[in-house]
Amino acid sequence: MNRRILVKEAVVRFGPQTVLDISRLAIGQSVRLAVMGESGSGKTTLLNILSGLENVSSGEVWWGDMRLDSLNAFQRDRFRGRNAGLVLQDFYLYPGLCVLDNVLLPTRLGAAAEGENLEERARALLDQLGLQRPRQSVDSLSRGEKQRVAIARALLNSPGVLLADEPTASLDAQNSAEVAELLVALARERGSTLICVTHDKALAARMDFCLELSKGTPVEAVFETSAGTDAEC
Amino acid sequence: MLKLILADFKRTWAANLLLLTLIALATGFSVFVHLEERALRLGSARAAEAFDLLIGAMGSDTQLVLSTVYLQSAPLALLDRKHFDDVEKHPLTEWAAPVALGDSWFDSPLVGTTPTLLTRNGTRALAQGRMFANTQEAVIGARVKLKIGDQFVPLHGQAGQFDAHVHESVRYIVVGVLPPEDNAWSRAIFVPIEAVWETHHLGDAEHVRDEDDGDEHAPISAIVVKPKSIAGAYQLRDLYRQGQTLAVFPAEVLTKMYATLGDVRTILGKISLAAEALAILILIAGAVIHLRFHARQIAALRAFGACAHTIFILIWLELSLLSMLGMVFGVSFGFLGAFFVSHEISAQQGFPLPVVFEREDWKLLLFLPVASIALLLPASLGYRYSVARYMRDSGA
Repeated sequence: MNRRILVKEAVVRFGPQTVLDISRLAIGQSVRLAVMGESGSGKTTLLNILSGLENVSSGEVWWGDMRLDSLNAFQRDRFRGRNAGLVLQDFYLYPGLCVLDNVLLPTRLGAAAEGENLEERARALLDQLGLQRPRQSVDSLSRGEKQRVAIARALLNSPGVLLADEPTASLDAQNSAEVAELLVALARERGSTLICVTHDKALAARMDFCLELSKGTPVEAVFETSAGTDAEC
Repeated sequence: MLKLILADFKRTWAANLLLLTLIALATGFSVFVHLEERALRLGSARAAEAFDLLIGAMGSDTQLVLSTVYLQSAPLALLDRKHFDDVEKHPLTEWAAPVALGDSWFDSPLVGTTPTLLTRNGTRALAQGRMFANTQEAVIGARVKLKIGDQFVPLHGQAGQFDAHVHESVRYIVVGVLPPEDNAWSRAIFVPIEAVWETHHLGDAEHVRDEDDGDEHAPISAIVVKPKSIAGAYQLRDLYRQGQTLAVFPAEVLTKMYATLGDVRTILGKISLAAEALAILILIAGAVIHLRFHARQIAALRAFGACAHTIFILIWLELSLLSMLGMVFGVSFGFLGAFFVSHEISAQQGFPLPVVFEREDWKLLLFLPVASIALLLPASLGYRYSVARYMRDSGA
């Protein structure tokens, strides 16, 4: 499937306030893009319309041939479950369950077919992320470990696109570096598109491109590398 | 899925326990009221089965039944012996026996009567020993805590009454034990009616009677009559409903009493229904709070690809499971409570109160579907949670 993401004339309003206004944003397959900007600049809103968590007030959001903004909320949930991996600042792990169950939970509760060897894949991912005890309760994990569990959960269905919202913001310096490293390495290994909303300059530096937003519109796009991919703004 | 529910229960065990207790209390209460009311009704009706027709002095029919059938101590207007002699000789009478009440030994009322009543006119044998043969001998009901050969001194009236006093010169010896019966008489002590007359005439020299001849004014409390036929029973009842006597079928009086109690029953029924409705409301309120608490997690599950409908079913299952557990506990507690209280009353009254579920009780189970349907409402709240909102709130 063509995983090029295209945003056209997209506007998001909350009440009278326009929080996002993007005339055109195209993100090519396997691109790694950092989205930066002040608080309230619309970074998270951009990520939410890309993932379908929120819909645009007007405009279009395309994932390859699929027009995301034309789907209803349930359809967008299903689409996201199949095609996107999500990593959030606050992990959103389910308390009381073990590491492995947390990784498996959304897929098990999903409408999407589970695929083969789900548990095996989950264990392999956890191993790769350096989590040795899949049966440990998530409640007893450190923040760095929790974010690794969240990454494993995002990657379980080998999504074409990984979307991360401040994945390192609640971690200490060392864990930040490790999580950033893992995120980038795993995305590259799978050829997944990686879009990170972040304040973390070290994380942004690992990306191909950096998009800076201010008051809901892009002010700057930095093209540091161009590895046969396209990003336009 | 089960793991998720268990993890939820474990994490919020205190709140869940509270909800569970409230549901259990509400259902328990209505089950208890229901079963206990039935137990009283069945138990008292069965206890009256042995008595076909009762004849007493003019007065309250309810009091006559309470005093003779349930041996509740209360002053009862007395009949003259001549009424008994008349009834006994009546062609419609199969057999009749006089009953003289008033004395007691500890918790056991003393009943003066004739062997006819105890053997149902020779149709039933004693469980142990033999029938009393003179005025110093007594036969005891199966629940009386005496045994053959024991001697005891009766009390005039009931222990605790202001004019109660010991009949010091009277002493009975137990010679026989009646078979167990499901009525108040199983805790009574039976002596010849002549013994009661004698006791009360002692010390009153003018009244010392000749040996067992017809003092037609000797007082008796009531007459138990076994009519030859049902038609005869009605004729006898009508015959003795005139003048100074009162004749009743205990069952008839009970029906009248239950009709009065019926109002109480309706009220209790409504209270227990209200309790159940309250339990459902509490459950819904609890569910809404519970979901608020989990809103972030629920929203996140959807964000990570879980199906919203699956989550809805999950929440609903979780809440329904909780109400089901509460109901199971409630029914158990209600049953045990009713059983325990019935046991206590039986020990006091001498007749068992059967705690039983009947076919009509399936209605109690309606709580479950009603609760489950009501819970669809809070469960559907899960659809409204959006993780995007929480992400916005948390900064960025």
